[in-house]
Amino acid sequence: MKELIVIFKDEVGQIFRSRKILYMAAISALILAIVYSTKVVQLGILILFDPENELNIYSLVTYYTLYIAIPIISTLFSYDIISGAQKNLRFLASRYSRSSIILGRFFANYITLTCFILLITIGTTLFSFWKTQNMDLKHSFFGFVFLGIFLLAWMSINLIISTICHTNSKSLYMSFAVSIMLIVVSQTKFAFLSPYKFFSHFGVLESTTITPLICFFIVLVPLSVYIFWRRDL
Amino acid sequence: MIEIAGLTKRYGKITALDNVGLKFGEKGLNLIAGANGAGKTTMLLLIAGLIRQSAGKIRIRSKKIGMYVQGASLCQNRTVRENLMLYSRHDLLAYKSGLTYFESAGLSQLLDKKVHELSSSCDKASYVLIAFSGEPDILLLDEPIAGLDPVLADKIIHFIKDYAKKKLLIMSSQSLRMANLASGRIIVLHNGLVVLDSDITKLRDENHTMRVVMEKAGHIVKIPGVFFCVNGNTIVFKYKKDLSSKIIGLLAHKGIKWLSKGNDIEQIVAEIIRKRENT
Repeated sequence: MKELIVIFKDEVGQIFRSRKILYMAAISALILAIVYSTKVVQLGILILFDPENELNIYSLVTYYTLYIAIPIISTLFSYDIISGAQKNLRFLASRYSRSSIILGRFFANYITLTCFILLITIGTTLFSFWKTQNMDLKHSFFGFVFLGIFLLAWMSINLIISTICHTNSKSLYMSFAVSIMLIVVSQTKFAFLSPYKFFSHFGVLESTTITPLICFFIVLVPLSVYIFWRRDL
Repeated sequence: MIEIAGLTKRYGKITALDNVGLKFGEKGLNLIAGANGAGKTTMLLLIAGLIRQSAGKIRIRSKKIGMYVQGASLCQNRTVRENLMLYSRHDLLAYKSGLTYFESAGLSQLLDKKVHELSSSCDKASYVLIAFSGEPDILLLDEPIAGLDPVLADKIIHFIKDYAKKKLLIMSSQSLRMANLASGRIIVLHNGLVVLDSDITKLRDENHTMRVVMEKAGHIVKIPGVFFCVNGNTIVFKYKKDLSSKIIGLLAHKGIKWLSKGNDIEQIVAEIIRKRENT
């Protein structure tokens, strides 16, 4: 456990020194631009998802934008957890257990990203309160929980890709290809293999969507640990 | 401390190690020598558990293993100190012992530099010194002095010799400079097989061979009981009992200048490998 915490802290430090922090800034800027300036998008979302206009428009737009962005963000954060870091992994693996390395790095990236989503959610909630004097905490909270679990499923998929691939470029291309492929899969009889299939509307938490998404984590993360454990470094 | 039995490692069709059996005690220097592709690095990687064997068993009694391996690198965008901290698992005692090695080597000024800012020699020296931190029970060093400048190499050799007096140290090297400077055990690998496993001093006593590179060619030195073979300005002496100091004394007496006095162990190992290739 101590090993895992050391790797976790180290990885968080690395995230804040790497380009990943720039990705977060860019994505936040993009979301803010969409949420606060595009009335067309707002209207579109209103008509599509909330025709009766009961929900807070700002939180609603943020939620759907994040939902679309999560497969991309998770890829950018997790494609290099294992792949391509062979030299560095040899250095670490001579002192740390492999499961500590992979889990420490996985949770460091996951928790950092979840905090980032939480910050955007809080920011949007406060902004909407300032604009509309309506603070929709319950829906925002459920929305955040769903996005956190949706992210966990995507990070698990990307982790196993990163463990299998031996270079960062292969892992990145594979992760993007799989993200796109799973959109198609979600329309077939194998839809249960795609996280896109398990969608919750803003503010709604259902076990039919949450449980399968958590299953991605339960199956894929131990499998990644096993593959990494068996792999030559 | 380590017991290896029937150890085999295959990379596809290539057999890097073939049915190797070895035992290592609690302390001492163990030098693994051999040509490129002999299986030296593979052996160390297997002991460290970084790769998996195709067959055989490795039993290790301690989990405290330190390692410097070629093809591994420190984290580039961190300082040497941060790398040391990470390698020591944030254990203050291990960290402090690592600092002592840097101070003794006169390399404390590297500690706050980022790894990517270091010259390749300093980068490598830092990594080797970090491997010593925490004084692991088993220290594995893969070509620790190759590519280091002579001053740093001497310091590292000094640490290696000191360390082997108290703990188990297994190092691989193509250059047998270490073998001529220290006592311990030498294991020669060739095409994945152990072709020699002997005590360095014993080997030196049993196979008296010395190579001397003269300043000028054409000298012939006849000493009773010493066979010699001349090739250009190099003379290889072979003798039954230790006459190396007598030979050197005689060369000096005759006013013959020599550029370097050859590594007798290197000569012996080269001979063994040559014989193996011919069979």
